[in-house]
Amino acid sequence: MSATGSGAGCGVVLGLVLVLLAAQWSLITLSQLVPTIEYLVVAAVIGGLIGALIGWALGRRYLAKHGAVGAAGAAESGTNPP
Amino acid sequence: MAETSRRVPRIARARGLAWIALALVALLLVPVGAIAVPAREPVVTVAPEAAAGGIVATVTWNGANIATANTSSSAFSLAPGGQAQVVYNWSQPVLSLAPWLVDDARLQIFYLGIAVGTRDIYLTNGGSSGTVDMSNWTYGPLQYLLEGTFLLTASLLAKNGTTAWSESFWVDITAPFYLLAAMPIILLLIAIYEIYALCVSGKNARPPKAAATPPSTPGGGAAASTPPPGTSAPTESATPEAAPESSPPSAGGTS
Repeated sequence: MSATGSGAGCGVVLGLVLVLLAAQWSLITLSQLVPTIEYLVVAAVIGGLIGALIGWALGRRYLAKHGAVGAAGAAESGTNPP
Repeated sequence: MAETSRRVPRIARARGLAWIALALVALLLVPVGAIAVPAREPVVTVAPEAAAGGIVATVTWNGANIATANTSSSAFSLAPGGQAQVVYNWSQPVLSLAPWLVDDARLQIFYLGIAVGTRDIYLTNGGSSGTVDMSNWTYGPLQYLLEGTFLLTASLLAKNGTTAWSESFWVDITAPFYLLAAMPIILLLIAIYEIYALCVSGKNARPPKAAATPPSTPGGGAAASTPPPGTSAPTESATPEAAPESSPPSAGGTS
């Protein structure tokens, strides 16, 4: 999985978690289905986009810092290069 | 050297993008708060007196009429482990043509639009008027799981299951320190892990395919062509696939 993809995945989960946490802390109410679905979908989409952007930027930064060869080795072996 | 100088603006650009992303995250927090304000004033359709049959009912929650808690901002509060006395009273006009015979007093709690808890008190002899005391109502095992502001619906049902009367109200169920229920703890742990995973997601970066790289190389472009900055020789080839292709020093066409 690329950095952008993993960032997007994290962003989607974070968006959902933020909405559910806001409900748990009474910032929003999720007792009714229709606004609940809207909140969750919107949060997932926005979180995914922002997460993808952050992942992409961090990936670029990582490649710039560690070089392509080290990243290739990490990608192949599934471990982080030193 | 040209490679190194080309990388400097790229790093700066990546930093700039990261700052933009952080600003977007900060901006995202504002709409969440803005969403919260109208959500605390939801439109609740309250039908205190059902038109059909003319049943008139009142339900009290610890002595207070539930009609006073018809918005989430005026919700009743229930402490952890707390109990509520819910009392149903209903009557119908004497000359009612088709009086409701109430058979069941029901209280439901909703989460995500789903009734997660239902308590019924069935009457042995359905009556057109009467009183039901639903004493010591708790939200059961949910008190260890959920907290938040919940919609509850009190209803009176006839023998055939038809709802003769219903009214919705809000209850704010709290946990100690707004935290000590399972759901917020789990959500916080997930959030911490995901933030960590997001921070290290850059390590999953795939190097861009260089122009000199054959397109059919297995490994998805893992064959990078540029050595890491600061190293004089490509000695970091970690895999056999990357090793033979790390030699061309002049293929710097990554953008």
